[in-house]
Amino acid sequence: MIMIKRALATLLSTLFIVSSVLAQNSISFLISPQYSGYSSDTPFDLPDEFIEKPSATSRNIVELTGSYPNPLIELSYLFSLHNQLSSRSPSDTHFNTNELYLSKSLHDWEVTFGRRISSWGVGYGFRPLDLVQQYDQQTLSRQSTIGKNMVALERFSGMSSWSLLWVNPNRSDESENSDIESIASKYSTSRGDYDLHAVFRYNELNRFQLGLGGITILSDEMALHGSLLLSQRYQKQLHRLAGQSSILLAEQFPYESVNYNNGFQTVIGMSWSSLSKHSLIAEYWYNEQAYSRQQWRELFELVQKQQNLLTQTAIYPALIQANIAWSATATQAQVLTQHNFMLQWSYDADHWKPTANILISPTDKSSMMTLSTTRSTHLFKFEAGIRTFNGASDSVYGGLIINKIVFMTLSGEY
Amino acid sequence: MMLLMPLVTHADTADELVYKADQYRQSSDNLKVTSLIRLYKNDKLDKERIYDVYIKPDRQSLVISRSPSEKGQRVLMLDDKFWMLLPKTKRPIRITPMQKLLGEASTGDIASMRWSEDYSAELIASHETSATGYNELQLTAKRKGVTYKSIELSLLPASNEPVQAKFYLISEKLAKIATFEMAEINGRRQVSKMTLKDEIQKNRYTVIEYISRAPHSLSGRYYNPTYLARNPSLIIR
Repeated sequence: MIMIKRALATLLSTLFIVSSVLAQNSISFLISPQYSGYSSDTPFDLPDEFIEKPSATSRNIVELTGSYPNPLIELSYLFSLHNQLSSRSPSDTHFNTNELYLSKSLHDWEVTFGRRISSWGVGYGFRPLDLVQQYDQQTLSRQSTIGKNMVALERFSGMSSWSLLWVNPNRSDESENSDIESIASKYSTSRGDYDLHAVFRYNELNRFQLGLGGITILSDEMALHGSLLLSQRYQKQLHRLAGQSSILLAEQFPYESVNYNNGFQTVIGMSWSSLSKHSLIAEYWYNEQAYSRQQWRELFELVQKQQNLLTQTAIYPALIQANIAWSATATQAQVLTQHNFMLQWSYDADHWKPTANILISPTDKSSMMTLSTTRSTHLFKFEAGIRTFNGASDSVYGGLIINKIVFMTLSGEY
Repeated sequence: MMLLMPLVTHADTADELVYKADQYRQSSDNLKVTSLIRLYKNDKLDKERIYDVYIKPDRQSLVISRSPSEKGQRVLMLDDKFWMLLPKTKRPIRITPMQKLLGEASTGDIASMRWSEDYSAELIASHETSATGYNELQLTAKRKGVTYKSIELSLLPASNEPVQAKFYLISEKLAKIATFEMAEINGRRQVSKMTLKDEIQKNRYTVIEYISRAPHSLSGRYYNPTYLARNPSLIIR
């Protein structure tokens, strides 16, 4: 409790000092405490010393956004200070440069140099066209992501725009997959009731990727959206021991990156709103880069056998438990299942905006349900809710170690 | 000779009357308007929001929220097309006219300040014959995507200052009644406040106060939907 108070005091002091010194900037804060519940009825269950299971955490963020417009060149930036409190580990505070770039406009053209956040996708629950950087669409506390280093040439003309990006030009050999050097391009246009987007990317890892997407306004109440991305090559992190029965334990981290050819990701959805203030969003998406039902089944079978080993033998329990913890790595992927169906309802009441969201994995009948309500005042925005993971113990959402999260978010920008 | 001349004086058409009334709210084609919106419930202040609206000819408006709880939220309106950018996202989303109406405030009430661009007018009763003593006009939407299907507008006969406006929804239900407060601003008489009485939820009314109006012409790129995510300096100033 003292730790939380101290962290809040630090955050508020930072907020006050920075905003008063830099009056030309915009400063925002987010405080997001969460309480998590864990399931013992899952094959991934382990004692706390093998998998961290904090019951209470709090993510506290202060962001500073600003720009210095100048007739010659404009400087824009977004910095953030993150503080993570946890009931199981020491407080962690770090600083991020989310954006820092120079831009120069000339007629319809604009050149950008530096780190910038890019978002190209179409959709709500999953956006295949986010080629430059992917976002976690299921996050409970929306915060700014970290941009990519790039040189960009863009043209904004009438209702169309065109972008050519050289992403991560400073890539080193040790770069992670998400930081690989790429050439990417996007064309967007709006014609009547249609917004259309075409994207392209080339890099050594994925080779050629081509995507198309759009949204059309069907009526005053309804819109339809969809997108499709084709990748010449894609990767999956697969467990070397899954799908076989002779070897159950590994001596080192058992996941390896496996290349696949010609994959696709697609999303189709609709949104509907009415004067009664009710809104609905329905979406289906398919992601070939996620585990198939068969791949999950093989992983669950392996983990179950590893659990059985624990009870059958007293030899090397630490090694067995470490293997189960390694196996659980697959449950931390951003997109868990290939087939996904999402339904979201919300109601714009006077002060409170209740929202119900369910994400269903139809192949194993498991789901993630989020119920929340938001209240906006002039100075703050407050959200509170609960997320539950439901299904059989060998299903994707039912088999997760975590089974519920109670969350709260307080945010504002000044 | 004088007797032979036809006794005709130029009478403004209904559309011209509405155009003149519009000048009291939007006197310039390119304008930045800062509006303070206060929503009252049972005569108590319930919500308060501030918006900057950048207006250009041909029904182009960019609405930027300045309130802390939704700072960074932007709505772009180009004719009958709408895009929204939510705070903490860099992705403008195309929205339906109905999505534009939902949310904290009806952005249609602040983004569009010229009835003459959206409605065709008909003089129902001149001030000489009307019971109110005002020129009474019936305005009918001539475009898709406008907030109201029709408006009954009362104008002062000599000056064409707006006195009252009744706003009707597509369902022909009376939604709001507006009254106007005038003041001398920057050397000319202009609408300083508009009070919108809610006729559906009768215990509510909204006061829109025009805090500042200044000629301001943004570059055309700011009205490109993709560029909506790319103007941080606009949020701050």
